[in-house]
Amino acid sequence: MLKLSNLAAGYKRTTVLTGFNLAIKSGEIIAAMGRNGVGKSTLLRTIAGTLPLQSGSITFDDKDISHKPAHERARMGIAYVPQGREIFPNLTVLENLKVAGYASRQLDLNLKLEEIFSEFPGLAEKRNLRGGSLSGGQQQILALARALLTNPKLLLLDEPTEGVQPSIIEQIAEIIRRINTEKKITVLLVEQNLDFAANLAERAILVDKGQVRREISATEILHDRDLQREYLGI
Amino acid sequence: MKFLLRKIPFEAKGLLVIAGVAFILTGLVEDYQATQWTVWVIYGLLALSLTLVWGKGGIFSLGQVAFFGIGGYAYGVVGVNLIHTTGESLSALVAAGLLAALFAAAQGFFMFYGNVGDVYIAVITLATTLVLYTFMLSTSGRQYAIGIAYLGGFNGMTNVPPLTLFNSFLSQRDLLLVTIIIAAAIAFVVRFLLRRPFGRVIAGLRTNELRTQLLGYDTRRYKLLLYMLGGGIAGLAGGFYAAWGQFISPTVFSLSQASLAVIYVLVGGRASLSGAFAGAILVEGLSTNLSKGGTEATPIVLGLVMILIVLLLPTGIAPALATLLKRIQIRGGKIETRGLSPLLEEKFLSKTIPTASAFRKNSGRLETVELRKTFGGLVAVANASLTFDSSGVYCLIGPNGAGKSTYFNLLIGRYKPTSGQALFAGKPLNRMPIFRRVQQGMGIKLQVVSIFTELSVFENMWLAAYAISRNSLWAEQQAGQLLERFGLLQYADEQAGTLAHGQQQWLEIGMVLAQEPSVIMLDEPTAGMTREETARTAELVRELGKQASVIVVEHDMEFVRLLDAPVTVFHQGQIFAKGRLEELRQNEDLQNIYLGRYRNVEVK
Repeated sequence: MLKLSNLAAGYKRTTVLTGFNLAIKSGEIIAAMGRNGVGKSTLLRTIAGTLPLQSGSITFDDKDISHKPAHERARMGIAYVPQGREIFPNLTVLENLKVAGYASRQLDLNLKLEEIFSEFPGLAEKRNLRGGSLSGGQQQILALARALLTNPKLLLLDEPTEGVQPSIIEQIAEIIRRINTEKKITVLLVEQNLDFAANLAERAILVDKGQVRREISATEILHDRDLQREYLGI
Repeated sequence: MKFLLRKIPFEAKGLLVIAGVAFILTGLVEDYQATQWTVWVIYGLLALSLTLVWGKGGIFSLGQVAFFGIGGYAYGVVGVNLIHTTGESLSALVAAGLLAALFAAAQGFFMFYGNVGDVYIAVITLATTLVLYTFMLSTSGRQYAIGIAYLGGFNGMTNVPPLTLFNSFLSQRDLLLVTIIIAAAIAFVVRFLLRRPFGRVIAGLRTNELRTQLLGYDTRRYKLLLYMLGGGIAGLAGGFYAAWGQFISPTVFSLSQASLAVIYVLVGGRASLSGAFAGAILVEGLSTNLSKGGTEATPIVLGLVMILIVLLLPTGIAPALATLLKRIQIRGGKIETRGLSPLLEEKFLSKTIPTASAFRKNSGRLETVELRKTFGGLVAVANASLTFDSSGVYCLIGPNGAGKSTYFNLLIGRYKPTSGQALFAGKPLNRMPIFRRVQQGMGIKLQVVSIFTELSVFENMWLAAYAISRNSLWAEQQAGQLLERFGLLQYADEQAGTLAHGQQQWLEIGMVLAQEPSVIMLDEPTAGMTREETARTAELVRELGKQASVIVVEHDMEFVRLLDAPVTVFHQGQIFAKGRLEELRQNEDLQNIYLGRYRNVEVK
């Protein structure tokens, strides 16, 4: 469903990704792994359209979206949950969700909101609290719910376990798994937490110096210490 | 003879030409024209002061007219008192410039040494102007007198004496001549100054203030000096203004007057000295001619013209004309390529060039003792004690948020520690600002490329070398050598911003080396580099480690492996492990930290 061909991207004159190739199949969960600074977040931002391409192309559902602006990509079904979640701290939970609803021009927004709240009872309880007062894990769930409001086909997640207590991490994994199986939403996950990523994804790509170095099954990396050393550890 | 002519700087020749033209011109004009032109030139001088401060120095002084007004009142007060005793008023003009410069010094000291942000500088300067406006309005009582000069409140000072020269009052035409000559002289002095080392540092400061500090310049001092100079020039213009109209009133401090100064500069060209005069003369000339028609539409037409100019010629009139001239010259085949751009004047002063060793810093060990930094409740660095010898390479690594960048910033002085201390050659660094650490021998390269993109590659390197030597010739030589060493000599005259990313990284590393540092601090030097560039950088760093202490923060393990140096691992603000990379590879806990299994690993 998503195909990156010979992609180069980065910030202004800095090229972070070079010759990046990746094909994502509809319905899968795929994890992009690698150390700090290898270009994982840049990858997600480039797909979401908040960073311009320097060369190469991106196709989504067989349409060339290489030069489409971010909001059009969002309407086509690409939802991006950035690192640090970026919810609006001064808006309530409900308002945070409504903002996303307005942007994606939902006609039956109230219906959709109720649907979301029944899916995430934890959020329903806190619907009138400020986003900033939620814990890290709850904020992550809010960010996920907000992404779902736009009816995405592809969900881009940047380090969903960052700053989340260990007890909530399993809950977040469960939500992502459910989103994937029940709603048939494809997930591209960027993670530093190996166990979390390997348990969730079927397939993993190992990224270094802005390129895909290896494509392997997720269980493989979980048991291969040399691979872990080479791409993730020291 | 030819040699002598060459020895005279361009500015002196230019001044002679302008004085000559002005002399002929003032002989031809009518009196009423002379009167009008004089005030245009005076406004031009005011605009010049703003061009200097804002266009050249990047300090947006929205209230530049404050100094103009202070100069005007200073001339008035001193002039009134003097004319009855000594019979001259020329020294009142000097007083106008000095008092305004003094006022600028006081205001600038609080702004620049207080690290006030750019936006606030605009607000503070404008507010000061409006406070002066309100204050001067309220000085109508007889008690508001200095000597025999009454300030006069909203009526202003009405008995200001005209300017005297050789103990006689100047006629309108002579005043025009004197104004033109003095304004031109000031403009040329400013131009000359900007070509000197001072000017380059100012240009660096405008383009990238942090980099200028990181090179070891006290940017606060340079800004203050520039601001005083601008204030003094505006004050002198104000003195001329009071002498011209034999009158000064609080309206000089008004909001409309303040915005006019900005408009002159925008129209003429923000970074162009001649543009200051072009802008003032154009705006004033236009509004005078428009109001002759006596219609109410004057402000509207004037406003439209200004909007058009700003939209169509965003760099201003003068630079647009210069580009046009250049194009014509290119067609005529007259343009010649420049060589390296040295600061010409110094060549003739035939100073001896000292050797590099004169600037080499005393080396010594850098150490931190129980260094700690907290942000709110978050402990970013917890009691880190480390020692770095006077030579050798040291790597700092750790996962995201481990505290290594905070530690780095504590070492270079961007953050002040919460407790504990850093010592360099036994001397405590704690309260030392960045630029002074650099002067002590620290060379700093930050993660994001930080160079002066608008300056030439040569000027970038020169600024680095000049910062530690304060010797222009040595800096030129050093810059040339380093450019050659990094293969950048062929780009010497190009804007640094046009270099490829890898080249920019090398230029910045070169700039650090140009300072002959004894401790080199590199934050992710290979970010965005290809494998080959990374390998070359590793080679360079190892080479540097033989003479100096090199501290590297890195994520790229391949680079760390190539460096083959002792590694310190940070985790959750603490020093988690130390050793060679091969040893650390055997550490299971460390592996787990990197794999995101934080909860399994207790920090000792």
